[in-house]
Amino acid sequence: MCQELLGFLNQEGMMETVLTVRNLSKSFGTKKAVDDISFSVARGAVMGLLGPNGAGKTTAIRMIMGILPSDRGEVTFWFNGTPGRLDKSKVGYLPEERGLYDDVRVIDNLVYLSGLKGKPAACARREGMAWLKRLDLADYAFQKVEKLSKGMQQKVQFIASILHRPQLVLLDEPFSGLDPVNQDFIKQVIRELQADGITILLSAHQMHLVEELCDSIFLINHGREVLSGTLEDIKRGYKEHTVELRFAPSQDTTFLKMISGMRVLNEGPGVASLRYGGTLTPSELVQLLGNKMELQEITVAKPPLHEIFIKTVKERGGYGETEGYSESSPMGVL
Amino acid sequence: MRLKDTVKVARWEFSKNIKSPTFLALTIAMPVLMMIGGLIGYWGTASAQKEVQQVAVIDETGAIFPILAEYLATSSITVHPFSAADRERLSEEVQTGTYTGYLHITQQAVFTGTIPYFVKDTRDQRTMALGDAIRYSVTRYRLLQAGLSRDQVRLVTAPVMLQVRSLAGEAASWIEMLVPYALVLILVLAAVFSGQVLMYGVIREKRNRIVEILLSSISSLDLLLGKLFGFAALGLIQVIIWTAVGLAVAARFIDLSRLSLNAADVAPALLFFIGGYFLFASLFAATGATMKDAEGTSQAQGLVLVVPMIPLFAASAILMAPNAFWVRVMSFVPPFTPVTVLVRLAATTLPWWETAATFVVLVLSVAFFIVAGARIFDRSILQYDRAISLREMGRMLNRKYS
Repeated sequence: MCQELLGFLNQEGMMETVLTVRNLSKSFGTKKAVDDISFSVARGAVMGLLGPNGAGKTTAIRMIMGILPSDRGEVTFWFNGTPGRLDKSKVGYLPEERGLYDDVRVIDNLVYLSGLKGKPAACARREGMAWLKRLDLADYAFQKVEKLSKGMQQKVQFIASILHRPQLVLLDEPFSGLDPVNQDFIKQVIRELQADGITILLSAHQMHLVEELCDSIFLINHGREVLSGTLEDIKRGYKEHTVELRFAPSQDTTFLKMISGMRVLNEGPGVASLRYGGTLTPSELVQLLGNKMELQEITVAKPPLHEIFIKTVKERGGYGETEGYSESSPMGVL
Repeated sequence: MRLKDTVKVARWEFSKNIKSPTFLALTIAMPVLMMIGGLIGYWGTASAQKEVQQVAVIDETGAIFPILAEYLATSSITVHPFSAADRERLSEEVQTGTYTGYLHITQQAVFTGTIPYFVKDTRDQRTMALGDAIRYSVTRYRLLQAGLSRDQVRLVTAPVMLQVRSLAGEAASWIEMLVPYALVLILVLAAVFSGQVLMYGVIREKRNRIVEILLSSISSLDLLLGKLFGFAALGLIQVIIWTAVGLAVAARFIDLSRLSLNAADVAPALLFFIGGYFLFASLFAATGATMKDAEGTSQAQGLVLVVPMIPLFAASAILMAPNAFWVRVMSFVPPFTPVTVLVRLAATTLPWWETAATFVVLVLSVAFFIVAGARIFDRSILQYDRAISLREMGRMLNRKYS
């Protein structure tokens, strides 16, 4: 009972939990795809499940959805405040491997798929049309899916995952294959879903989108947990700061390299991009730099999630299949 | 298992596939093709029977030709007498087509019973009527030679027929035999055609990845059952259309008012038909779940689909000996049960206990194949990029497989 109660309340012991994953493991032959991961998702939160290719994200999501059996561990849903098993009608799912009936009309796909989740056909048709209109697909409602572009199909698939108004939505790479305009659109919809109290667990490669959307993240590599917590906590716990300087090009900057914990990443006439991992607080660092040089502009901030992600994966999990993913790539493909 | 989900899938499969070009083509094209085939066969036989054959006869006995000519007087074969000296000329005229062939009847040939018939092409199949005529004529000649009077010969050579009757005195009913046998053919055709549409549907769902969405909403068992019921309804429509067309065509040749069906005779056949349909359909669906694509069907998997039809290959042997030990054993081997029992029902009346026992075997095997099919379906459906081997299929049936 105690454990159940602990599961129901999240780590802060305050917020209601919708999903609890405990010691979940899965192997394929000798390869451990998911190795003893545990996390919980608070009601109404957006949680990012991150990791390089082959880290075990999709396997974990499939086990949560009951599509793959787990070798060990348990998944508990708290839809009504009490622990229970998966009620598929209360969960929306956008799989990594997209799929629709390509020889069937768009609206019929939506009505059938939400019908399987328990939504009445008339209601699904009406709301489906509204969603298609919102996502600029109303003209294609009565076309066969095969006539649509990949991006359009992706949007139809997204509608299919939320049309039945689930309590929890699992989105596996919801932004892949979408142009920036549609990425923004989906991002906006996810925010609206969150505002409606719908809980979202998403895996994505686009770190800037994860950073904008997620309240918390769970980073896995080689099937194991590498990093987890709220974005705020993770950034606070990350010891390095990014330091961007603008100054007169005649300024001498050789002293920068002498500051303990300071790394110079880029330096040019009048600009410098630095990383600071020393003991000074940001305000102490600003004061120190201000005393040593005449600054036109200074920015001290926590590095973007993208950088924290790569560094953490390198330090704690090894690179695994992240070859080709570099710190300099702003949206590296994992 | 949730009946509601099964019904939703069944309705979807039915409404989606009834409009599909493949189903429409099979449903409409099949009776049309069968009618065309039947008409060609009928027309071919009728025209072959009407075709006039000119046959030259060298009769060295001098007595057989008149009997032969009399026997063939009302047929399409006309015989012409020649002497042994005409052999060379006849060979040329057979070669040029003036005569279909020539018979050479000698005393020796009458004694040995082997009458040579010389033709241009020995593969010519139009010899049955001539064979009957020559057998009759030589037998009659022999009897006359033995000293029997013409009346005695007529009496001896009069045809004798075996008339089969039941103990109650009823004549054998061809309809009782026809219904189960027709059901066997319809079962195999319907199961193969709609089963293949079902199988390709499963492969397609796997290939276009929709199956993962489906399994995130309903169980694999509900999905499989829904498909089976949906396709059973489609199969039923096919069977009704084919039967209606078949009866309409048959009405041109036979008096259908004589066709009185006894429910007690037809019910077992119908039960085995329905059970057989579900057995084959679940096999096709499970096989589809193991395939990567329609083109990648392995020969081993193809064999799985042929196994239930093996009894059809042995149908004539089963009809000849419907209660033979091996046939009885075959009736209890699940994949063979429906076809074997249906063929047996065409040839005999099974004891009630054997009908019941084989039906129980069929029901249990249908349940087994559906559960096993769902398990294979469940465990192989996410393996998009490869076909599943038979060994792996076996392992998937194990509860502990993961």
